[in-house]
Amino acid sequence: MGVSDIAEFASAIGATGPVWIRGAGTRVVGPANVRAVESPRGIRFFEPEEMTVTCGAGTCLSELDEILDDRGQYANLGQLRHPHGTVGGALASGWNDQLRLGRGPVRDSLLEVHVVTGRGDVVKGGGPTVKNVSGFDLCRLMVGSHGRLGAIAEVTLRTRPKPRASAWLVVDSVDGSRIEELVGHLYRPSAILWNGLVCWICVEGHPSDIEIARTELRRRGFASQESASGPDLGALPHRWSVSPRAVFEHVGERVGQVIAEVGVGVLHGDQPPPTPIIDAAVENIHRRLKDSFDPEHRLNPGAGDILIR
Amino acid sequence: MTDEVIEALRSAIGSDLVRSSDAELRLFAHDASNLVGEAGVVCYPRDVDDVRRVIAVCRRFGIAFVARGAGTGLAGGATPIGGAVVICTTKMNRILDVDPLARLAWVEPGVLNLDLTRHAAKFGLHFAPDPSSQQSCSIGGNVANNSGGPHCLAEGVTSAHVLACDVVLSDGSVVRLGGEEPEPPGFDLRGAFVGSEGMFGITTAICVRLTPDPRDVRTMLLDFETVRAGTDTVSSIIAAGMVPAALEMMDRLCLQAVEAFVHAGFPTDAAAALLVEVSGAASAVAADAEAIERIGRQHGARSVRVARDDNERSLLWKGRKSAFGAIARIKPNYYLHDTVVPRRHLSDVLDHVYRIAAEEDLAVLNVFHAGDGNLHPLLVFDRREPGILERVHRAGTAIVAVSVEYGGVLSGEHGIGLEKRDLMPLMFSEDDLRAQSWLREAFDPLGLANPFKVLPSPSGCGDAHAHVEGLWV
Ligand SMILES: Cc1cc2nc3c(=O)[nH]c(=O)nc-3n(C[C@H](O)[C@H](O)[C@H](O)COP(=O)(O)OP(=O)(O)OC[C@H]3O[C@@H](n4cnc5c(N)ncnc54)[C@H](O)[C@@H]3O)c2cc1C
Ligand SMILES: Cc1cc2nc3c(=O)[nH]c(=O)nc-3n(C[C@H](O)[C@H](O)[C@H](O)COP(=O)(O)OP(=O)(O)OC[C@H]3O[C@@H](n4cnc5c(N)ncnc54)[C@H](O)[C@@H]3O)c2cc1C
Repeated sequence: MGVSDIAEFASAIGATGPVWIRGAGTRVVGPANVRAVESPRGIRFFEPEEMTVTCGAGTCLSELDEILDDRGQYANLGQLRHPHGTVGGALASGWNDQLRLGRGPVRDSLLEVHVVTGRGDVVKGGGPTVKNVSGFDLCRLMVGSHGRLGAIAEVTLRTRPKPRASAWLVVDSVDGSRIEELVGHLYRPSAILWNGLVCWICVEGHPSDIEIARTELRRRGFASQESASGPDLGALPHRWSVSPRAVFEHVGERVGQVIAEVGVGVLHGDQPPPTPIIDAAVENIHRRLKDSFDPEHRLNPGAGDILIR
Repeated sequence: MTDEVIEALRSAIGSDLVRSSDAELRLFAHDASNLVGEAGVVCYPRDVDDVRRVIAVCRRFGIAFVARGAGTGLAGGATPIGGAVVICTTKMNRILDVDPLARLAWVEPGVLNLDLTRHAAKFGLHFAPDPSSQQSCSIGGNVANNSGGPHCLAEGVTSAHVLACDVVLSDGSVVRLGGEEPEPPGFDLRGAFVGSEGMFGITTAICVRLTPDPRDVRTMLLDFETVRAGTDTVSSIIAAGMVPAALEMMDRLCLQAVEAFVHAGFPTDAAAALLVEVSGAASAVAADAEAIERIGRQHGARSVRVARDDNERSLLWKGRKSAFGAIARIKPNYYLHDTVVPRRHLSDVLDHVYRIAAEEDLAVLNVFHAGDGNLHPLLVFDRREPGILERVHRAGTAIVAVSVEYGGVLSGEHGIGLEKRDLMPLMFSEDDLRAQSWLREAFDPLGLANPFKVLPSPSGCGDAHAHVEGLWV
């Protein structure tokens, strides 16, 4: 890895004609007639005491995890969802896993980004340090942009110490009348998933604190059992994004048919979410961004949601 | 400012909300930095409709507008250039809605940072970003500058705590960026807006995340015979897998100034002291506090003082947060810098800072967010001394340059504004800067929102800068 790889990546992308940036292809593969380009791979720099890691966007999440894990750290890229994807794929899609409540969103982990725009220029945004407000925040703009503004070449990510321990606690018989009480008493859990009947809680931290959380739950009448993981979301392929205030009502209406991320507002369901209502002024901002960063709209044609496409 | 514009503003929002007395214009010609511009007129909108009306007038006459919260910014962000219309949000200071279960709140931009935290306290919640100016700065200003504070080490800076912003754009439209929902469609325009220094539009309502108060807190003061022992302790704490809630450092001159001011028993003969706070669940706090004490002693900490109760804890923090008041005892004026360097280079960069100050014969105090490598060298001086401003200026530029040389960045929390605009090329290429200007143009193609900040302007727009006095660093 190194500047030469970014430059090579840029020249592979070029300045004209449609291009598809290929990650591991775990979710999306590009249109058959569009040229595919892979982004640079490999870890360039990892200093545990900086809590940052710099790597090519084509680096596999499992490789990154392994290297960070050796030093007791992790980068919050939503690996629970897709351990075999790439760093670039995780950032470009910006999808979060079920631990967002405690670990925060994927978007907060990007510190510096090098992208190749549709014009073929290499552009850097952000900076290599854990704190930085130098200039406008291109990093946040790139996360979740599905590569439509720039192909991600190399990134610096914030890392975090791994929790000393973590556990999934499953509490049965939590209906709509008790969920608020349960939520109110938990101290900063990493996840609360709820289907209207059963609640899966992920607690992370010091083993004694986890034990205390379990005891407190029991004392309040919420007996829990430990589980190796959270609920299986396989049968619930659709993702709704609602206000965390609206979660209880949504689940109440479809008990057992959805699993909600309480405190976050993601609902996993078997029905597709309604099409969002798009504001014309917001759409204009999107159009202007694409017209500047990728005037020919040649990067990842068709990728992204209703606004980005 | 022409009478016609002032008249139009008066009929738009009411005469009492439009001010143009000399005294007021002078007051609003600058923020808390040394950068003085020129305010054309000052408007005090009461709500989003007033903001729209003011911006409509600006658009009609082709005049720039500048949002202003409390004016505590240190980079000249709220300094108006060339007679711009200042839109001051102090009358938009309502906390609109707090939902303790969903842990979010909607506030108007003029709400003061600490007022929100005080309001949320009854629910056992707080707003995590805590700039040292939190008693007086506005949440709108925090959003625009993506502000940080001592407790942002563990909790993240403002951007991590903003869910949505309602924004009036220069074309008059009102947009919601982001949302209460976690995955709104489209690009993360919310994220792009946070830190846009008033140049993308004016936010009129902000939805923030509230953070539960910690179950347990331990605050410690460790002092060292060398600065390096202190910074090595910082690195070792992080390398050991801990992210304390706060990890702040003060050097000798700062300790002396602060001790004379608050009498908290700070060690005035130490080269440096670390103020460390760990918070969270009880067992983790106990384990981390013990480990930190051990690491400190391994690096030669002379003493480790653990606050016994809330009073002692507040006293230690009072010392840290009143550093700015304390230095007034040394010299009447100060210039506060803000750069970030990789943690492992903290000592080396501090050595350079001391050398640079000595070369210019200036006194320098350091009080900073060591945990995230965020340096705040404070140059103290008396502006009546002939030639002093040039020396302060040279020292400042040298400090920024050396930080960037060591792999650091121009600003960790104060922003670029006018202050560091022309230093942006130290960090960014022309292509990088062009991309940043695309981002701004996507929000404000008319270029009316707080122009001439952040992005070094291509030659030709230069005359607008002539109005700024004291353009430093
Ligand atoms: C439409 C969609 C549906 C998804 N559904 C699920 C789901 O049901 N369950 C789940 O667990 N996760 C889902 N995800 C998230 C997915 O797990 C992550 O996107 C994963 O990390 C992808 O990694 P990958 O390397 O396989 O990327 P790919 O699948 O190869 O690519 C994903 C997208 O990112 C773009 N991309 C990849 N690398 C780069 C780069 N370097 N620069 C710019 N763009 C790049 C691709 O062009 C493509 O548009 C979904 C993502 C998308 C986009
Ligand atoms: C003693 C002291 C200590 C400080 N400590 C810290 C610290 O620890 N951490 C830190 O990060 N900062 C610190 N600061 C800097 C400053 O307090 C912050 O930048 C703060 O967020 C500014 O808020 P304000 O309301 O004063 O904004 P202003 O100074 O009024 O404005 C700042 C910027 O925000 C824009 N703006 C204001 N309101 C809006 C709005 N509604 N919509 C769009 N743009 C808007 C302005 O145009 C300007 O560009 C300190 C300042 C002082 C004087």
